[in-house]
Amino acid sequence: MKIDPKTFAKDYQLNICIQCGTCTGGCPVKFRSPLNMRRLVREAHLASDYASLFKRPELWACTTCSTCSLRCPAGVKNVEFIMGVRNYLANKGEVPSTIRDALENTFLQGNPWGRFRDRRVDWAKDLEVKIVGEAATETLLYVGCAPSYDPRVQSVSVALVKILQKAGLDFGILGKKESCCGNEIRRMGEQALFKKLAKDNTNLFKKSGIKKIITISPHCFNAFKNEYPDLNLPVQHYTQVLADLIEARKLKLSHDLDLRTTYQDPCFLGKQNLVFDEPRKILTSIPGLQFAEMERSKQRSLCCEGGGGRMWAEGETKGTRNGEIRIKEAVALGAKVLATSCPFCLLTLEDAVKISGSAGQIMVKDITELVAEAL
Amino acid sequence: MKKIGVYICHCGTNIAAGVDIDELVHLSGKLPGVKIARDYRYLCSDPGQDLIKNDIRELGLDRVVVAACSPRMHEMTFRSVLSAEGVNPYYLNIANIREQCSWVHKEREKATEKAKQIIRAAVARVLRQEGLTARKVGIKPSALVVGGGIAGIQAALTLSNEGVKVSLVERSPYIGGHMAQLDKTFPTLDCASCIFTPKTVEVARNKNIELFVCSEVTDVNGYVGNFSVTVKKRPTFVNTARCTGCGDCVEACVLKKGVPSEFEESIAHRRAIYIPFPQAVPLKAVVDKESCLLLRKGKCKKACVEACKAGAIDFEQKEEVVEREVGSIVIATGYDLFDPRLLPQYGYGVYENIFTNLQFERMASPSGPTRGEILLKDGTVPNRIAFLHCIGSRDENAKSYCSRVCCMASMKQAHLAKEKTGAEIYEFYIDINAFGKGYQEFYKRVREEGVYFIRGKGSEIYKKDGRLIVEAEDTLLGTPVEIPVDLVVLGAGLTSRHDAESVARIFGISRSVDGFFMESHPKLRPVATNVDGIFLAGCCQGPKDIPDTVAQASAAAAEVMSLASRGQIEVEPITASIDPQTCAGCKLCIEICPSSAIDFLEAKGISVVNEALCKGCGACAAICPSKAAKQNHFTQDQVLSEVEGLVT
Amino acid sequence: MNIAVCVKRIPKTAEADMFIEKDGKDIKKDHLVFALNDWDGYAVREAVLLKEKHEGEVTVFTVGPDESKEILTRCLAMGADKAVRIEEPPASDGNRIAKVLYQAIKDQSFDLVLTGVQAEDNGWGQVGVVLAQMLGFAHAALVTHVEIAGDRAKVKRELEGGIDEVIELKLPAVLTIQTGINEPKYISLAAILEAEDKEIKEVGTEEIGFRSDESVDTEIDQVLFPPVTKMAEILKGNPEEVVTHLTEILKKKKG
Repeated sequence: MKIDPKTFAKDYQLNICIQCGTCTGGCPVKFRSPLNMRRLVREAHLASDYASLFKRPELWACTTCSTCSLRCPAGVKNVEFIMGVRNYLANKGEVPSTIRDALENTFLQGNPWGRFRDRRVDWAKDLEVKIVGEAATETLLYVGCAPSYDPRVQSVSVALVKILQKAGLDFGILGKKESCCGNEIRRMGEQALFKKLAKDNTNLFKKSGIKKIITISPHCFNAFKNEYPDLNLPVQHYTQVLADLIEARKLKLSHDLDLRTTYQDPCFLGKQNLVFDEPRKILTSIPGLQFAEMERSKQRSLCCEGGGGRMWAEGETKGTRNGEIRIKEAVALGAKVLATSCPFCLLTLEDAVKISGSAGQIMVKDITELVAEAL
Repeated sequence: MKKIGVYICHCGTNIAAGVDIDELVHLSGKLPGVKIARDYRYLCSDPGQDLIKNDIRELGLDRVVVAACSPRMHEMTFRSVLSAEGVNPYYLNIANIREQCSWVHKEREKATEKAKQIIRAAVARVLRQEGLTARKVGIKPSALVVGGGIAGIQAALTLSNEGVKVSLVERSPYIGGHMAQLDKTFPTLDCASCIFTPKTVEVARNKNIELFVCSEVTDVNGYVGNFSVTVKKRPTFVNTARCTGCGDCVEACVLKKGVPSEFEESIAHRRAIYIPFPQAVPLKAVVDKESCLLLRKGKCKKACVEACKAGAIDFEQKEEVVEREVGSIVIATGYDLFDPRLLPQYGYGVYENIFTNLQFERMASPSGPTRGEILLKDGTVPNRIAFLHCIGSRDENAKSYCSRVCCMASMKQAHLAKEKTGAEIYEFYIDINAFGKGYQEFYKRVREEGVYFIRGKGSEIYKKDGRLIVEAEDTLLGTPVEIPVDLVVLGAGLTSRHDAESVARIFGISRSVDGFFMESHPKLRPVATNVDGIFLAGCCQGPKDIPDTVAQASAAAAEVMSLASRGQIEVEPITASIDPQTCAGCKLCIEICPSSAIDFLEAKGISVVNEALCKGCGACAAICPSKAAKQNHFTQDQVLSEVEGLVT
Repeated sequence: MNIAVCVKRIPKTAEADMFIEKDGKDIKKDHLVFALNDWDGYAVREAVLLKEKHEGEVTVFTVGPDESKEILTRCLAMGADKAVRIEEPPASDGNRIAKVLYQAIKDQSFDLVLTGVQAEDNGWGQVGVVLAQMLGFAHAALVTHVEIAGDRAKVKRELEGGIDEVIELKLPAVLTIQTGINEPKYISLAAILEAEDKEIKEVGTEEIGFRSDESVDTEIDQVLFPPVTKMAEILKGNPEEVVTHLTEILKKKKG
């Protein structure tokens, strides 16, 4: 699989660029890293020697939030271009060591954290969840790697299972057979591994007789919905499912939560897939909850820097993290809770709370956790 | 015995390089009916045409085939050649061996064979062609001008001054369109109202112009020189004969809070009864049916009626429908502004103090809600203002075209803002489109005045610590920037009107890909449309500044006058006709006719073609089960013979 | 220069549930994920780096069943030129493995033979040194740095306390490679798929002259979990109190 950077101009429409700078202007890491998308596009378009161009560590700072691609007036495929460059580098083995480990771990153990596959369902051991394949069900709750293994995110998985069971929804999880969805793998440049994961997962889903998929992470949601070539199954993010259940009165939220809450739109759910209303509908349905909208919300939500492989590499970014800026904004709103619906946002924002010393002022919670409390 | 002359053009090397002319001449000479076959370097030239004329005269030719370029180029030319020698021009046939042969094929031998086929087909067809006579239609010396903006006004005045009777129909209560909203215009900084008020006043006064405001054209029938249009006049609930425009009713109106004013681009409110602006022509009060409490809910103390000393308010006023017969139509319906809410990254409608360029005009205008002062929503003067270019333009996610005038408008507004507030001004641009007379010089002036130009499109606006932050990249320095400002003006682009589709349908005209009305030819016929007798002027055809609008309006008027002064024109006889003997009255042709050009004669039980409306599409001929309908110049015989010529 | 690298396929056991086989002589491995031994990975990379610097060829050897082919493919993707698998059921006797490898290697003129310091599963650390003895080559173990000059190798060995020992050996030599000697490169799935097309030589032990009926020197008698006892004592109090208490306990237990 030899990739020739000379094809990048055509593949990603680099020659169509009018150098207007909208991409760099809207980039969430523009002040944290020397990454300059506009200049990179121009340099790649005109380059004859790509070796030094692509050796830059800031290429790994990109979070693939896709703000650049979404706003580009000329139609340049910026994010695809970054992924293409990373693919070129990965095939040559030239990736940061932490990315290398994440990719190798995914290949061996089915998750980038390198945790043992058999441990994947430990979080659910007392929950009486159906395992797809052992019991019949048509709806798959695809848990994902972070919600399976990360102790902080496991409470999201537990909460969601309890909510869905309370609402009487029939569903199952894949258990130990579940492997990484591949969304971040693709963004880290391992296109071949992504293709393999997509193929294996698609076969697994189809063989299991599933008719519908619910995901916890917006990243998995994005992969299944937009990037798996042969899936052809309806996919929903859990916020869409919960919003529907609330609408249909199958979920009764009776417990009062007197909390001033704001919400972080995750990039992969919000600006990329336009799911804005459902999370808000859920939050405003919680009795007692006072919802406050952040300054930069919906399409303008500030990326938490968790995507694009950033959970495993810093890309030599420096200075105040976006997470800290976000926490400051939330605190300024008077919010006691910053709600989110993505495991990566959850982890990065909670870290930011600790780093910025705001632990006493604000908590970061996933929407599932709030709903579970309000049940 | 038919005598056909076949003439093969070299067209320099355009044809001669791609096909073997000698072989073509040789073949043509041997075809049935051909008296003579010649070739010539440039047949469309005078000597070329003379060559054909001589042969017609001396050899008694009665049919001619010209094998050359596309008939769209010179069919008319060669038809005139035949007419000049007394031969019916419809005995000409063009064989296109350039665009359809020599220009598109690389192998000379194969191209020559193809050219032979084309000529064979053309000769076979011309044998079956019939002589047709062009119809003459009279042109009424009157015109309808749709839209009372500067384009419509200019067209109407030009026409009326030449004695053409004009019906000027305007949808809003006043004439002047968007230009009436502008403060000063670029590059001369003329006050817009000052320069066009004399024109609007003249429109009101001119005896040859019948002005309809609050009116729309709802139906158009007919054909060039003979249109009948239906105009619907909305009730304004004010008797214009009595109204003096004093404004007492507006003062008295109970809707104190009002509704967003269209003229003020929603930065101010108006009452339910209102006068659009102080210099409005006509200066009459108007009641808005949507917001008037009495009309909507039936309950109001009618303070306006009480206040009106002229007793002009009449809630019983009804809609009026009038018909007018006109010879030509000029469409000058103008533009709408791109709605920046479609691009949520700019926070328009979310944050205060983000305005569109038109809203800024209203602020800058001395008759506007802030009396010409540039103020923030809290009434203070801004210290820093950002102008963002290309909002909704040159954007695959909005409109892909450049809106032409916004760069200049933005710079003009920067100049005004600087003059009025002394604020620090930033222009975020991609390119500076300063193409017109005096425009580059104005750009220089604005730079001299100290306005900062940042080459980088504004990417996002958000609020931090109470200030609006513009995120962009200074691409010339290659560094990303976040500039805190107090006020943002979005350079929203010009788009076609939101109802352009239905207007196009009423008049039967087409729209271009960008949504504006389509001109006949992008370079050579910029004011005509695909419908004879209907012309375009102003921004409804595409974004343009005032000088170009006025020029185009004058051009449209000139076209109308050219028609009117001729008194009559010839209409191509390539229309359909239905043989009354064969017609069974099944009406399939009436159903399929896109021009509604076929009438059914109840008494005789047959269909008959209205030649004036018929566009000659041939649909009726194709669908007629009894072959009663035939398309002149494209009869079944003629078409089939052409096919035979191709395949034999 | 001609370099041989001996590699092993091992199960990854971190976090895994471990079960003892019924006969008590091994752990259950069906549910485990297998990979190239970490130390051997560093050895292969080191060999490839040396080959790139000094020109030559790298041949990887493994002793094991059919399943071992996958790690040879990985080595080929890492830059090895040739791969040889010697068919033998997974053996637990380091001496035996060394004997097999000796048979495979002795007649080919390798300048350098690399192995990892130890295997992740058994961790005996024997094969490299025993092989050196059999081959009669100079050897160094726990190597953290290699430099080749002519017919000599200058290596660093890792000792306790952060001390390095520098040794010069005359080639041919056997080196057992310590982790961290180099920065492993990422091997993409694309590279592995490409390497799957390359040939792997497979030989039986008889072919290379090893008699498989040779007696095994060491046998695993029993594998068991460490006994679980309760020996935790929580020390309470402020840091000073805890330290005093802890010091007393250590003194008493003569630790």
